[in-house]
Amino acid sequence: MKNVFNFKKIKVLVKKELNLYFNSPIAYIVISIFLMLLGFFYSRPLFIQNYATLRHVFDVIPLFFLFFIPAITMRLYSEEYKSGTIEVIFTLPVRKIEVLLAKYISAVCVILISIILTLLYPITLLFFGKFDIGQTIAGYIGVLLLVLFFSSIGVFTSSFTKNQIISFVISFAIMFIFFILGKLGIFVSPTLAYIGIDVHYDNFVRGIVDARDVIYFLSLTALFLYFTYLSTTTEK
Amino acid sequence: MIQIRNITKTFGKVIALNNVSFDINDNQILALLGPNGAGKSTLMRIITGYLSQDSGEISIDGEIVSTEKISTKENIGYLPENNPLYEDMTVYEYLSFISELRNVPKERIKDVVELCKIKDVINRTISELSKGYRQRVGFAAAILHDPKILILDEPTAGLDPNQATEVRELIKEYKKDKTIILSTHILSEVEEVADYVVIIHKGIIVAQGTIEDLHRIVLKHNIIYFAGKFDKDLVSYLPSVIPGIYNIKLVAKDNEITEYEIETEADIDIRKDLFKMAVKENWEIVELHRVSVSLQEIFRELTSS
Repeated sequence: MKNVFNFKKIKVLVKKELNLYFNSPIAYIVISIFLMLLGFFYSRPLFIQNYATLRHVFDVIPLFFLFFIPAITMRLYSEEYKSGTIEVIFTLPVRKIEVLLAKYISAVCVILISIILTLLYPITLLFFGKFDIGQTIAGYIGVLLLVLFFSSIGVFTSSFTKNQIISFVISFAIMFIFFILGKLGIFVSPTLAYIGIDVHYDNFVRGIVDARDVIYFLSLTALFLYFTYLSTTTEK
Repeated sequence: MIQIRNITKTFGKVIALNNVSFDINDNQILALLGPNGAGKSTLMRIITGYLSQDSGEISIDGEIVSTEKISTKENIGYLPENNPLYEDMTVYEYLSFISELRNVPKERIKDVVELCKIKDVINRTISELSKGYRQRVGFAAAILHDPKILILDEPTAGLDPNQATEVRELIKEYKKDKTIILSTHILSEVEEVADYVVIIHKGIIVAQGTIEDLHRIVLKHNIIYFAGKFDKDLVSYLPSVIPGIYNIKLVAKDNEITEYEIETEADIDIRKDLFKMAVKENWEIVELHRVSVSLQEIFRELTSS
C-alpha cells in the first residue's frame, strides 16, 4: 500500500490549488493576455494573407510559453513558503509526492484551459476553408507535451525559492535554454540541437507524431518532476 | 506518552537543539519556555514531522516519528508559529479543505465552529479577519480531527489581552484527556495553563518540572513576610527563640507597623511557630505569608547566562 498514491487526497489538493488560482485575478489576467496575443497571430494570416492555417499559431506558442507558463507556475510552492502555509500542508496526513503531483496537475489544468479556448481557432477555420485536421491534431499533441514539459520546469523552480519573481526568472531561463538550443544548436552540433525542443516540436507541427519525440518530452518532464521531489524533500 | 530522546538539530553551523531528552505524559499540558531562538519551534517542528532531526529519536506511544509517516501526522493537531492560513480562502473553504484531507465528516466542522466561536465569520475571506479570529480559525483547523496530541507554537503571540484570554480559554476547554504542548514566552500564561514546564535555552534544557519544582530549584531558601505591631526588635530576638532562621531583615517601619523578611532553610516552614509566638507575646499581626518567587524571576535566573 505504501507506494500507491491516495488519489482522493490528490483530488482534494488539486481542488484547493484550482480554487486558489481562480480566487485571485492573476490566472484570469495571464490567460486573457495569452489568448489576445495568440489571437493576433491567428487572425493576421487569415485576413491579410488569406491562409486557412494554424501554422503561425503553433510556431509562436513555444515563445509565448516562455512567459506564460512561468507566470502560472511561479506561485505553486513559492507562495506557500512565503506565507508559511507549507508548514500546514506538510503536517497534514499527505505525502510530499502527492502535494507535488497535485500542484503540477493543477498548473497543467490552468494552462490547458487556455489551450482548450484556442480550439475556437480551428473550429472557426472550418467555416473559412479547407485545412489539414490531422496536422492540427498532431500540432495540439505537440502543444500538450510542451505544456507538460515546461510546467515541470516551472513547478521545479518554484520549489526552491519563496520569491515568485526568482522562480519566474529561473524557469524562464531554463525554458529559454531548451528553446534556443533548438534554434541555434544546429550551428554547433546536431546533438546539441536535439536537446532543444524545436526538432521535436516541429515534427508535431508538420503533422508527424513520432514516438521518439513523445519520449523526449515525457522523459524530460519526469526528470524535472523528480528534481522537484528532491527539492521538496530536502530541508532548506 | 511522547518520548524525546537525544534530539540534536543543526542549521548550518547553528546548533538549534543539543541532545534534548524528556518525556511528555498523557493528558498533560506541557509548556516549552524559552527566549526567542531557543529552539522551541524547531523541537515542535520535529515532533510534528515537519523537520527531521540530525540524531536522536522521538516516539509517540512507542511509534517512531518521521517526516514521511502519515500516522505521525494523523495523531497530531498543529498550530504553527504566526498561524499561516490560506488568505484567499473563506473560513469554511479552509476548514472543509482540512477536513477532507483528514477524512473528517463535515458535521464535525459545525461542532468546531461552535466551540471556537467563529460562526459569524464562517463565510468571510480569511485575509479580512482580525488577528483574534485568525488565531481561532487556526485553532479550529488544528483540533478538527480531534487529535490526542495538540501542538501550539506561540498561540497567543501578537494578540491583545482579551484575545489572548479567549485563546487560553479555548485551550483549557479542549484540555480534557488530551496532551497539549505549547510554546510561549508569556510567563503568566504558563502559570495559568501548564502542568509541566520545560525551559530551553540555546538548544539545551536548563530546567524542567512542575511550577513548584522550578520554584524549588531556584529558591534555595524560604522567605516569610511578617508584619505587625511588635514590642521587641525581632532582628535580634527571633533567631534566639525559633531555630532555622539564618537571616532576618527589617523591610519597613512606620509609627506602629514593622515589616520583616525572614529567610529560612528551604525545607523549614516557620509560619506556625511565628503565629504561636505572636499569640504568646500578644503581638498584633497584620500580615504573615510566604513570599513566592514569580516564574519571571525563575526564568530570568535560568536563562540569563
